[in-house]
Amino acid sequence: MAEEKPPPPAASSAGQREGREQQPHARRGREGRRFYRRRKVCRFCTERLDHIDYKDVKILSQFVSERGKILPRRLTGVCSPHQRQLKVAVKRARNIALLPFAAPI
Amino acid sequence: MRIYEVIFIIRADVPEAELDSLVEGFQQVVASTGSTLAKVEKWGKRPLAYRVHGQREGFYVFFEVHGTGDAVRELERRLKVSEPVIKYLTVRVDLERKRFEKMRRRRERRAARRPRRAPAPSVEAASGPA
Repeated sequence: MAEEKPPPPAASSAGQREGREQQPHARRGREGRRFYRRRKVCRFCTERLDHIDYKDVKILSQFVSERGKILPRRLTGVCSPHQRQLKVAVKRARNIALLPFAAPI
Repeated sequence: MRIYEVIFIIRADVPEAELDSLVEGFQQVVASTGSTLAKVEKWGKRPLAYRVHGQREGFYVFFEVHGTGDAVRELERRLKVSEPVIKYLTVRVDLERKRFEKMRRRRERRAARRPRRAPAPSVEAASGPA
């Protein structure tokens, strides 16, 4: 969150590989990938919703698949502290039948 | 003092009047153990995400209990033996709330401090990969 800011400085042209996480802007085409990938940011961080409520089905349902599985954060871009909270919230919601354990196709 | 959230689901085919008296009864249980009910919400009929006892719908009721575990233990016992209640969930929330409150405060403090730190790039580079 706070660390997002640091360096856009001039030095960055050489050491591409390592800093995928630190670099705020996605570099298109640079590293031999054919498709452009937008850098995903954690929705809970950007919107400052740090408490993930298990009662809030509207939000939780955005982070589960159609089948009711929790989406991996490589797809959603959620940061790991929030993913952990999300996990607990989804499981609680399932317990009280707000979300399915396994949805029919 | 602890804070609990208790949600329970009553079968959707229970008539209105009986439902009210049922909820009333559970409220009394909490009151009789010396705890306070900070919130009572009836969310009304909602579809269930999966079938519970053959039901596809249920009447959701939400309690927020401020008090001791005894109140919740007794309430849960009643919920368990009560026929029309098909599901319930208790979550203790006071610790989480405290933690989030702390996080929020810390962030505010940090936000207040940040502008002063910005002009010195060396400090930022050092604290970069947290």
